[in-house]
Amino acid sequence: MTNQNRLSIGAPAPDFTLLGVDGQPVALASLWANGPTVLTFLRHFG
Amino acid sequence: MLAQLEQAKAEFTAAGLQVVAVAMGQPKHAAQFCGSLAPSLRCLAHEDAAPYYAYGLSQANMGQLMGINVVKEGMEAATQGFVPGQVIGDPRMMPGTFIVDTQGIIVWRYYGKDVSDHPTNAELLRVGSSVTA
Repeated sequence: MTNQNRLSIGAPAPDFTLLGVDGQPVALASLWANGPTVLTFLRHFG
Repeated sequence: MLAQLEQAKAEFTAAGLQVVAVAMGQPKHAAQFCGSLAPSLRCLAHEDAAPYYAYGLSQANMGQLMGINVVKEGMEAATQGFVPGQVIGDPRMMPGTFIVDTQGIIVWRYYGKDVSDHPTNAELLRVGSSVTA
């Protein structure tokens, strides 16, 4: 994995379905459809 | 990063921005970790690193994992009372933050220089406010 894999400004954000704290699936696209979203990736929980 | 975002939750809301944090693990890990550090933010869990790779994030090299800035940030966090618990996820994974508009387009991105490097709330609010204006 190199910097060449980095996403460019103006690129479509990859959509994934993740799980909320209640275990329910949440599609990222369903979130940003409701408003601009700050999406941060953490290294880990803990 | 999570506690930092939580501190500015009201400002993010006022700017029309929602904040979503992603990490590897199970929902129970997200609930436990986010519940203590950022109860008002939305936290999502994924069982593997696929979303990270899709967003161009990768595992840190040794310098990014053990550099002087990382040690410094860790010491500052400790002095502020943060005590790391059981680590769920991948501590080697580089962090990253993106602002996505309502069309699903990346309008801003921040790739950490090392595992402790994150954008400031002020920077996020400045950029985010221009998206919602």
